[in-house]
Amino acid sequence: MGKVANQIAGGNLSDRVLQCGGLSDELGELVCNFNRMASRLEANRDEMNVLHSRLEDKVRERTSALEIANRKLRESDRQKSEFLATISHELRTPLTSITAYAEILVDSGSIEPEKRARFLSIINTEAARMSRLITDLLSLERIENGMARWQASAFDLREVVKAAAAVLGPALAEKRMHLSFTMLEAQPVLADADRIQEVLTNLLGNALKFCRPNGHIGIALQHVSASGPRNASGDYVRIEVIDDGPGIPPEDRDQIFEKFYQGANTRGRHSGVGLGLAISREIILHHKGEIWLELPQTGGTVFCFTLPRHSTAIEFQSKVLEESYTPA
Amino acid sequence: MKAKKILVCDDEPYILESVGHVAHTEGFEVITSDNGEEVLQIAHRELPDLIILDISMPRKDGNTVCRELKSAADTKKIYVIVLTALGRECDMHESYLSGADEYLTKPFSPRHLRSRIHAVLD
Repeated sequence: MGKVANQIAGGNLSDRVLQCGGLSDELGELVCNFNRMASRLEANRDEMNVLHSRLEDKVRERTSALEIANRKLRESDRQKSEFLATISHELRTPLTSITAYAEILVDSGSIEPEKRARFLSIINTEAARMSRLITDLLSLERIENGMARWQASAFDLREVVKAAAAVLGPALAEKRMHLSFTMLEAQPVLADADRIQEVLTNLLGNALKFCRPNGHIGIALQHVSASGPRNASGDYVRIEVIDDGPGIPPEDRDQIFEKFYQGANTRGRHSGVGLGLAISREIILHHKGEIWLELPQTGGTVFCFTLPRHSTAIEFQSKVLEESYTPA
Repeated sequence: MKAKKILVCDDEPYILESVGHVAHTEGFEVITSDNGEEVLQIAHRELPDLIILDISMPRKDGNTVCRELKSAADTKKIYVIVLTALGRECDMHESYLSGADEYLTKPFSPRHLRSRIHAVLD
């Protein structure tokens, strides 16, 4: 028993005192209780070991969760500083023109009238660009943070297409662009009409911006049974804005819907701040549709988006609408 | 005396025009370019007395242009004023490390730019 007690004291809890048969005296009882004590100790130790290892697992789990959270925070921090740097650059660019031309005009008393008019009009244009940047930023920020107010109503998408085309009418006319529609049947949707019109205005505006004068832009509406590249099945309306412009170079295609992305070789050559497509994507995603880019072999660019088709019957005048429209 | 030559490079057309206007009204010959690749070619061909260079440009950024100018025998003596919207200290260090002689930030004052041009060229 002394040997076993020594073993137990040394941490080996599995040894037991062998009972020499029929010990019924006090010594036998002591051996019995000693063994029971050793078993209890062993069981407690085993239980403790299990708890200990569970605790370690838990600590490991929590640590790795914290590490992931930490990484995410660092990444979002990095994105935030990058975003701020981009915004400050994007704001500084028009501001630079505004302050430079203003100072030039203040300082030059005898500047030619044409120059004066041109510089004033640049100040005007760049002030508008700054203002649009701020409006777009706030709008995108509200949508991304779920703070935007949406007003859903049921309408025929053809009406909104017409409204967007009308807004751009003067600009289309100025560039002598030809605009055509393929909208055979009514396309009922339940959506925020103003926001959908904003998407269409953005896409039409891009087509107008990048096409050569006398170019062609087409808008086609179609009832389809899948949402687009993600291929969710259901009743959808597919809207295509087709242009015969220069297309989009391969290096820009993946990033074209990202904030402030303006295309590696288009920056500075076209007005705009690179938020239109980012906002459009948020709007379409909010409506559970998809938006993507297609580049036909024949050239040009096709922007497509889908919206769930509104299933409940709405009384639409189902007049046939296939027409061409050349702005006066 | 032949007018001294200033080469201006910026990818923002209005800013390019404003800097060009400032240099031109001071009586200098002005050449403009809207990208970093072209500005290098022009620099080697025209050997201007001063280059006013933007940093953030597509294809080839201003710091790369500056390094290439300063490492070529025919262009390394040309004075380079960087004019950029990048305003952080680390951006300035990078431009100086690339060999820029002077660093101005946007928005800029045409008055100040005019006096810097004269300080360099007169």
